[in-house]
Amino acid sequence: MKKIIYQLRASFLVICTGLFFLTSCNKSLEQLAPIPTPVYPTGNGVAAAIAANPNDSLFYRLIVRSGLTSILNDLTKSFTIFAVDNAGMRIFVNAASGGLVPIPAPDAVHSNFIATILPAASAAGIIGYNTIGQKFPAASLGSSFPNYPLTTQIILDPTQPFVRMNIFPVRGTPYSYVNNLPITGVDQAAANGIIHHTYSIVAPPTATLKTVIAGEATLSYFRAAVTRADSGSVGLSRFDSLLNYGVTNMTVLAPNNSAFQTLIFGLVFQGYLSTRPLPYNATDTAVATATANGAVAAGPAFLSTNNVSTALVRGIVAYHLLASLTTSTTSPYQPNIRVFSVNIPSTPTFVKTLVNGSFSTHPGIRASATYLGPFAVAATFTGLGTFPPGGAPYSGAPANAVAIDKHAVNGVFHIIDKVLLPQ
Amino acid sequence: MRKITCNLVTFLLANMITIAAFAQNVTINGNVRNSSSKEGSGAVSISIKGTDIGTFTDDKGNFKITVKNLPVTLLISSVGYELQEVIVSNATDKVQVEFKPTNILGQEVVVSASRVPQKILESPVSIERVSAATIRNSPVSNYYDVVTTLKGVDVTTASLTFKTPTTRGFNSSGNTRFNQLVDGMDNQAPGLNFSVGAIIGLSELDVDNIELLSGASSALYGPGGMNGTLLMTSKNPFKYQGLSFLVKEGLMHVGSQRQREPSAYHNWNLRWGKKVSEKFAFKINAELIQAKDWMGTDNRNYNRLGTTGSVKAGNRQTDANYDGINIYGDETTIDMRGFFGGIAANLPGAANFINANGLLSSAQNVSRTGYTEKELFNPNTVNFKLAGSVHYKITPNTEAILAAYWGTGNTIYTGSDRYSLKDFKMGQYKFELINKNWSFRAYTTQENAGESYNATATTRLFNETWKKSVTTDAAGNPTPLPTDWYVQYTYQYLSNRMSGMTDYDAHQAARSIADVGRPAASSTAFRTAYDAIRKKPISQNGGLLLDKSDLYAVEGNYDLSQFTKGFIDILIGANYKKYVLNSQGTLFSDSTGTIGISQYGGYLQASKKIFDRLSLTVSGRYDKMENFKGRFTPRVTALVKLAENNNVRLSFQTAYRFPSSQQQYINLQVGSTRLVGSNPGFATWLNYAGNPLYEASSVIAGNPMVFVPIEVKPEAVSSFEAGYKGLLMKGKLLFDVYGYYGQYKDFLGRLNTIQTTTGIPTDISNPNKRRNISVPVNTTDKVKTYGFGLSVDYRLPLNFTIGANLASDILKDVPSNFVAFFNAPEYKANVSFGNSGFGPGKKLGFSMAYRWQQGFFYQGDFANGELPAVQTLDAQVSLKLPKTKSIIKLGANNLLNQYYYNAIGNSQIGGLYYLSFGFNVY
Repeated sequence: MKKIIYQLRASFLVICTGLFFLTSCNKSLEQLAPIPTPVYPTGNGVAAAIAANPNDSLFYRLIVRSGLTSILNDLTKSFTIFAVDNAGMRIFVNAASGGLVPIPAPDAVHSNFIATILPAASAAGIIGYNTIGQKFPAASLGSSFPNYPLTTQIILDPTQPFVRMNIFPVRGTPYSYVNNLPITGVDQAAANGIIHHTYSIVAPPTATLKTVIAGEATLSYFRAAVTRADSGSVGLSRFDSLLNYGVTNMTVLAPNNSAFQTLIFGLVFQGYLSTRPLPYNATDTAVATATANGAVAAGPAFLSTNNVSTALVRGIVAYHLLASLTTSTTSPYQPNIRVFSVNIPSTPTFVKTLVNGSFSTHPGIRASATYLGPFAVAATFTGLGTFPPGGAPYSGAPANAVAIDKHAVNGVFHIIDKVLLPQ
Repeated sequence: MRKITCNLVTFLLANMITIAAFAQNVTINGNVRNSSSKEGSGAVSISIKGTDIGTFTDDKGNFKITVKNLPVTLLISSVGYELQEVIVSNATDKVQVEFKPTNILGQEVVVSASRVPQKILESPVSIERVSAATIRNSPVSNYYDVVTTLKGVDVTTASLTFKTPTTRGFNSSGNTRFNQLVDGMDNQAPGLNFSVGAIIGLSELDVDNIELLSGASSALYGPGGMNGTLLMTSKNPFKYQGLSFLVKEGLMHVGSQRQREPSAYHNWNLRWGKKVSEKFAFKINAELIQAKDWMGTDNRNYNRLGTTGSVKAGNRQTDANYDGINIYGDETTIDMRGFFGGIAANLPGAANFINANGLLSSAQNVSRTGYTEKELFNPNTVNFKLAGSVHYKITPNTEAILAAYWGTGNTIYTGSDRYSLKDFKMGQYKFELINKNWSFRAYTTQENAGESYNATATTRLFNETWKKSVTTDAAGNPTPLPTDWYVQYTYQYLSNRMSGMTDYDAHQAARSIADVGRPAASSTAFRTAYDAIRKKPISQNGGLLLDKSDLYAVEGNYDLSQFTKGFIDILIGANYKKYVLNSQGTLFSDSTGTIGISQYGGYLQASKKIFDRLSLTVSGRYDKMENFKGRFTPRVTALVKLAENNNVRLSFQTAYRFPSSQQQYINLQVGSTRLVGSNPGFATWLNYAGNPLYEASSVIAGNPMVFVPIEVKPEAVSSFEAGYKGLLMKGKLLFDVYGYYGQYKDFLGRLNTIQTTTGIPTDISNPNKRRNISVPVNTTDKVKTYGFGLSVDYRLPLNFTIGANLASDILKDVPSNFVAFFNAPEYKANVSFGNSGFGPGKKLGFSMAYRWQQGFFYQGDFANGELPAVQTLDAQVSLKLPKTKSIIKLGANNLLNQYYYNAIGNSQIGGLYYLSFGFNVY
């Protein structure tokens, strides 16, 4: 009996021990390899990399002034920054100081201006405008006409923070640009980004096209033309609204007052003669001249009279807003390109306009630029129509740019000396 | 019809009246007690040899029986004891019987195998039996869990009180291929289609026995029992008398993996059975379980693709489209490219940035932020069962029973989503006549889903209530507003990227912005809003299931053997069922009124014993459901007697299953997919003819193929089985082995299809103009299963017992792309060791049960994935206190607290430790 009990005890212990070990190893549910989290780089951020370059010391001073040093050195983020070497910074400081700081002044003077006189907000705006939140090596910058807009760190609409002010680099041969300034150096690596250098500071615009154009004394006829063209239109279909809408991206060829006066003179002169029988005599010509002079003397208000039709003025204004083809099925051609002078090829090139919104096959305007080194020193634009009418397409005298690269938040405009005619 | 009814009544009355009336005039008083422990033995059968006269001892072992005259021979019997004969020639002295426990195994009598009582050793099909004594000495905290220790049983645990057993594969929470009968009544909830034996079934003290038929069993028990039938039988108050109670107090959620602070487990049982006279008895019993439930804590990332989803890498931080298995609300997902495209079309700078970062080149899916199951579900699980019956013996051989079983509770169920069954109620009410030759039963099942709700739908709707994902117009077209969650997320994400952030950081920051003000699950604001949604019907953009479906059933059988005795034994039966589906449009397509489904059937079984060595049984059953053609299911069994208590069994069984009420009439949006039924009305409603369905896989593959739904048929299985059961080593070793081969055809499953929302065929490739529809289908291929099981039970000296079983189930020939939901480990085993009485006065007892199951790939409507092997050890030690007829037990389920899952998406189960006190438990 004792033997039996002993055997039972032994069996019991063996079973218990066995079961204990057997049940001590339930495995967890299958765990798949985790998705790796980002591994952030180590080393100098873009601000630190700029600081380490003695020839960029003034730009670094600008970064410090902007208060964005720590952000630019944040290794969890990626940036592309368009920096400026000290030579370029001197040009900038000279301009920003209204010439009070001469270009040849010692760097300490420039540095002091940046650190103490230049408003910090201005510095922040400049740095924010020249910073893109992603690494864009020079090779990845677009080369298509007119440029490759990228979003900067300046937010235009806080409720839609992706609506940002754009900067407009473009990769070209032999020169690449940011807006209208040439890129002088590319692809300096930092741990969290890439540094390109531009000729001087690419300053952010501060006002809309409407505001800037309103400040141009030579564009009063153009403003009157816009007003007349908007007659009967509402909302963003009004040119005025477009010019004042911060998120559009436009290029305006704004004929100056003399250009409009020439057009008005011609229209009235031609209009009078058309009421006279052929052949015209000297009196006809004299009366026509006097009538045309009277119309010109009426000033911009003439464009609001019944002497010209709204459709005519609307067509003329539309022809001076450059456009491109989009994927929109309702409005395929939209004024969404920003063409700086340096974006205009040296060989005449056709560019679509808002007229294509109504006449999609319209060839647009023909533009060309003249370069001296990397800089565009002249630009001309030719319209399809001629004055007097009847000339071969694009056979009229081209309009010359009398002022180029007038930059605004929502576009750029060039002042030209002739009104372009779409037909 | 009236004539048939009259004949039936006449027939029944004739049977009652033809039973001879009593004319007793001598009363014998006696007592039966255990020869070892000297405890009074209750529920012991006392019968007069050579007659039909008999009674049972009461809870103290006393009995009283009246006979015409003396002397008589008393036959005293009970399972586990030696049969004793006592000659009584003097009624003045009290008869004292010393009842001796027997060492011989396999003496149980089973009924379900052939619908007639027979020794378990002589059952022609595989059967397992759990007696009240087994439950008494078991370590499980809930008697229902004893089933899981039986050979070949798999169980799916949805929560503490929602467990679904099955055999031979195809298990899931709410398995529809495994019948559960409680006192002869189908225990399946008529609307929700899951059997609720663990919730609404018997209370522990009222369980007389549980019989498990493995494999196909439709031939006797009707449609549905394709994989087996579990029959639970309660204690008859004529036999089991007295007041009993059992109190278990326990502890859950302990250890390092715990889901919450340790919490109490309460399980209180009460039963009172009273034989008022030889003709009248009643019983009432109740059980209350209260605890903090186990929770699903599987927060792994899931790729939700209908029934073919899979676990994928990532978490809430690393995958913006994270969809945690047991996290709800994060099923809402949108591809941000819709927003990016719009932005790029209008903002050239943004367009270049978007394109340079590839944000339009591949899907940019983002999911809403969800809430964990633990945050959402009220952990308080309550299960209250109340049952009672009155029994009247119209004649000594004819007993009339009126019984009611009612239960309510909170539990968690896994279907196509996780459901909180809150205040779920189900009642079963029956009238039954039982004669030794026939029986008649009429019953109804009344289901009420209470405040049960779909956690996924409710949480997604809560998210929409708190902050709209994307505002839409009346036609459903997106009209995004700055206040929309996805608008805020997308805008912020893009801005973050433009500010130089990595994709990872940009997502984190965007989510934190979009989630500003998101109520914590513990906040009053959350609870108020959430409760309002979960109490609103699904049809009204809520999460509430309004299921109040009912079942009405009538059935009867007659044993014709009294007329055919000596030649052949014949048993016939018939039944009628009527389902009344009533979900008010929240589950079924019954928004305009209830749906009725009728079903009737009949069966015949003929048995013949040949040469004393061979017993042949042939059964056949015909059933017809109103939406389907009739079905005939045959069964043939043979029992070959090799020697006394050594038999070989052979069987060919068939079973089939009509599509469940859900498979016929469900109309439920689950995540991005709408589940619809097979009823032809859906084809009309969804215009299959004019706007065809396409196989989802073909659409995804870029080659859309039209799918034309065809009439769905009942699925069927044919199974061959051979087995041997025998007593060896002088009755101390019981050995059982079986092998089976089954073939399923017309297998019922679901197919994911896609339909355009516009009716324009070319839109099938546009994700914004199509919808997912899951339709029931039959597979044309034949799916095969095979397996085996073997068990050994050995009675050691001194009442020690040891047992082990091993079973295997294998599925093969599964067509590719077909989700079979087999859900059975290839191998599973149980080992038990115990003693129901040893030590001084044999007052001590103990038992240990070890279970192991191999890992397998689990497939469910809710989630699929690899399940690792599971091992659990249950154990208990007990002490009997004979003087007070009490027993104290200290037990543990999952003693080593090894948390485990046995289904993907279900609750994670840990250890449960309890101390119980039972009074008059027998």
